[in-house]
Amino acid sequence: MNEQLQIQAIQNGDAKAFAQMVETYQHLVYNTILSMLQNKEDAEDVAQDVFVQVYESIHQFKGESKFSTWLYRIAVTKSLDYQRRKKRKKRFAIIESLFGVNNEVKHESIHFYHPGVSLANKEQAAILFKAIQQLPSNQQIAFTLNKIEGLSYQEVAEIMQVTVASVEAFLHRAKQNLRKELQQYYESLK
Amino acid sequence: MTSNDFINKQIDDTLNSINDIQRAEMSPFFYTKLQARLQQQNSSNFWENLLSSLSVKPAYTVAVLMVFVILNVAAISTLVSDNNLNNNIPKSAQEASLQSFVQDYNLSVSTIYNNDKKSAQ
Repeated sequence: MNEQLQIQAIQNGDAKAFAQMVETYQHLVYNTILSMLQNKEDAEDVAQDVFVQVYESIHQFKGESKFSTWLYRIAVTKSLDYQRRKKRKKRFAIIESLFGVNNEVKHESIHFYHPGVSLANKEQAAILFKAIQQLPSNQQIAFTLNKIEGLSYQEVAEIMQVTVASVEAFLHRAKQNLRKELQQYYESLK
Repeated sequence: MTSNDFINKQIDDTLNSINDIQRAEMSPFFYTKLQARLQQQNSSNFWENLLSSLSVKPAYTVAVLMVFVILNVAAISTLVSDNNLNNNIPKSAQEASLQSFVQDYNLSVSTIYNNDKKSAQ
C-alpha cells in the first residue's frame, strides 16, 4: 500500500492499516530508542508510548515531512522525556539515601550490549555506548541518528529541525567529547 | 608503539566498533502488547473524559451542583411534608394503627410476665 494511502486509512480508523504501519516501522523506532536509553525493557515501553501517540495524533500529520521523519521526531522526544524522568528519579533516590529513607543502593548494569553489534566488537561498543550517554542531548541525538541509524546529515537536520551545518557541528563536537571521554577511560586502566 | 599511540589506537577502534552495526529488532509480540494497551486506554478514557470534562468546564460543574442541590431540597421538603401529615392525625388513631401494625407483624415483645399470665389462665 502506498504510504500516503496507508496514512489516510489510519486517519479514517482502519485498524489493519495501523497494524501494517507498526509492522513496518517498529524496528526503526525501537532501534532509535534502544540506542538512546540503552535498556531493552525501557526501550520497549517507550516504543509503545510512541505508537500510542501516533495512534492518537495521526490526524495532526499533514504530510509536510516524510512519515518516518515525523516518527523519528516522536521517538527522540519520548526518549529524551524518559531520560529526564529517570535522571530526576535518580537524583531523588540519592537525596533519599542521604537522609536514610531508603538505604538500598540500586545497581544498574554497567555495560549495555547492543544486539546489532558483531561479537568481535561487543566489548568496545559497550564502552562507546557508555561514553555516548555522557554527551549533551543534541550531540547524542545527532550521533545516534547518523552513526547508529545510518541517516544522512540532511535527514538528521529534518528530524532535529535544525540546519545541516548545525548537525555537522553537533557531530564534530560529539566526536571530540567521545574522544575525551574514551581517553580518560583508557588512561584510568593504565 | 608508545603508550599514547596505543591509547589513540584503542580510541579509534572503539569509535569504529559500531561502523557495521545492524538494526536491533523488536520482540515478535510487540503489536499484541500495543493492542492491549490501546484497548485498556480506550476503556479507561470514557470515565477519565467524563470526570475531566466535569471538573474542567465550569458550566458542567455548576449544572451538576444544581442537580445535587435540587435533589436535596426535594428530599428534605418531602420529609417535612410527611412529618406534617403525621402530626395532623389524632393521637388515638396513630396509636391504634401502630398497635394493629405490631399485631400484624407479631412484633410484640414477649416477657416472663406474659408467660406467667398465660399459665395462670
